[in-house]
Amino acid sequence: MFSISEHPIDVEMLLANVKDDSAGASILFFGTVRNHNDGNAITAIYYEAYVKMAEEAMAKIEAESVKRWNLKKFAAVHRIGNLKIGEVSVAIAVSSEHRAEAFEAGRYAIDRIKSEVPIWKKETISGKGGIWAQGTPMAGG
Amino acid sequence: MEQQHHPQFITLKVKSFAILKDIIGTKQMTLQLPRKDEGTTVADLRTRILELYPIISEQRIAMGIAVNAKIANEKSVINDLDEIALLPPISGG
Repeated sequence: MFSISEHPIDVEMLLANVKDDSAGASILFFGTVRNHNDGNAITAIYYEAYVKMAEEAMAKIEAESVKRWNLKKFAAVHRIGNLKIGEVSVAIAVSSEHRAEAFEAGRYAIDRIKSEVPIWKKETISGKGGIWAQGTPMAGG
Repeated sequence: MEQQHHPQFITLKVKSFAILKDIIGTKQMTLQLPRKDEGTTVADLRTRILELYPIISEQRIAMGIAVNAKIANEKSVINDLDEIALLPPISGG
């Protein structure tokens, strides 16, 4: 399951969502708003999404992650709106039979989210105001 | 509601996001393109957008175009009911 939320992400709830009696390993990854980037001091980040397309892109990533790593459960959420330093912007939880698949699937899923899901961030840079981050061009189909 | 098809133009609802929304000045606009016998394509739409907003090329913003929430091929034919979205490079995470 995947959601885009305007509200703070509850990472413990995400972890609870992947609980499965047949799983021997669960991992939780979350990304937080960092106070600097490329030598600039960052004071906040605004996130925007094309929600409909992001949900479809995530459903595909979820299905492919589950299949490729034989996961028991998968849950992810991305925050949108204005975030302060230290707040969670994205979180992924997966469960699997053994740890190797869980670790690899978590890495695989976050890498694909960053390169395929239509979400944009505008960094508030100290002294410069809000600037849209350089991103990854969306691949043509 | 019955869709009115103009014989000479297709009418599109075009969403834009992030820096492209800032450049265009609105998150959704209505745009008309000439209706072609062989079908009006994503490439035709791209040409029109870049004519209207030359700053997109000047700033070398790689613009993805989605049709009905899927990244589209330049040769894809578009029509009145399609939902178009202009997508700058993504930066989630």
